[in-house]
Amino acid sequence: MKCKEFQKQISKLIDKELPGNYRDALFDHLQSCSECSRFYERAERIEMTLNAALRVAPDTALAQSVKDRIAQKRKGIVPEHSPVFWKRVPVYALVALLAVGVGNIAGKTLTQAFLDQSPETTLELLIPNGIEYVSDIFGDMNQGDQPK
Amino acid sequence: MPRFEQLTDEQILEEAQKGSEAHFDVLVERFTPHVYRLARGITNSHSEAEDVVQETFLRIFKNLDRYSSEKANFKTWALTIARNQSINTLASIKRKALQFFGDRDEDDPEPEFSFNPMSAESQDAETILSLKQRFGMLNQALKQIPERQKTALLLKSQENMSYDEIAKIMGVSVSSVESLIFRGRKKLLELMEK
Ligand SMILES: [Zn+2]
Repeated sequence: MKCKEFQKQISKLIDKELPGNYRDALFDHLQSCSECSRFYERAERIEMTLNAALRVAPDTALAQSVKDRIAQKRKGIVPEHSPVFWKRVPVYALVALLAVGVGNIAGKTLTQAFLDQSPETTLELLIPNGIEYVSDIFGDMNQGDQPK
Repeated sequence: MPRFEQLTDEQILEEAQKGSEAHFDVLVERFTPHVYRLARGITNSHSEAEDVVQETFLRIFKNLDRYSSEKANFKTWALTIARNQSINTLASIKRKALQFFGDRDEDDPEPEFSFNPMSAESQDAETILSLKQRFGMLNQALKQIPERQKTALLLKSQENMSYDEIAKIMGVSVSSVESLIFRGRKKLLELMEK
């Protein structure tokens, strides 16, 4: 059997998904193959890092906010947009202003510029999620390229 | 709410399906961390993950009467919805980023994982430092692996789910899960252990 097959088994062994009857052959191979032993060692180290990393926890207010929204839904008063929509209003306003400016320079009306799309769709496409305020946009532009 | 603590997810769900608001709230409390973690891992964004949590529970609420515990347990069902919502969000983030910034990547300064000193109580300072560095590398590496590989790895490592459960959530075969996790691990090895 090729080393790649043994390495697949090692991956399953780490996940406690390898059936017992495969183990003897695998451990025999590990004793004689340095490449697979090294793979096992490194893969286990990565698994330990993943497990040791603190499991990200949400803000404690999040569950309450979900419960509140469901409660509103029960009463039939939930807005169609998620609460985040309202935080984005300042940016919508900015983009609308920019759009008017661009529209004028290009000699087009807004209706022409957005002919086949509703204004909301167009604005949605222009605004990345997570950007909530004007400073977020200009802050980003000023910083230039971020390291990956 | 001590009386809820003894109930299984399915028992709580049964009451929620009968219309009990209090029981549905318990489901929200129990599963918000799981849904958030998966969404955070897939979208790489705290605020997007919070949106995914909201949308996921709204969907669960709307489709409560369609759920049957014979098909899947509640966690599997909830994480299936959460993953689909996260993928939609991810696609939308990429589309919007492309429209707005050209080919630029999303920036999210918040680390995906942070260092947990409790997990390294018995380690010496040097080991702790190297663990910290490894978490940083892990964050970067996870951003570079394909969504399907990352989701399978996260469900395994964070949620401790079996290949069978992961297969149900991702709508693929168990052997595909094996392969996704294996390829994800190899990719992480390449990125982290150069
Ligand atoms: Zn080998």
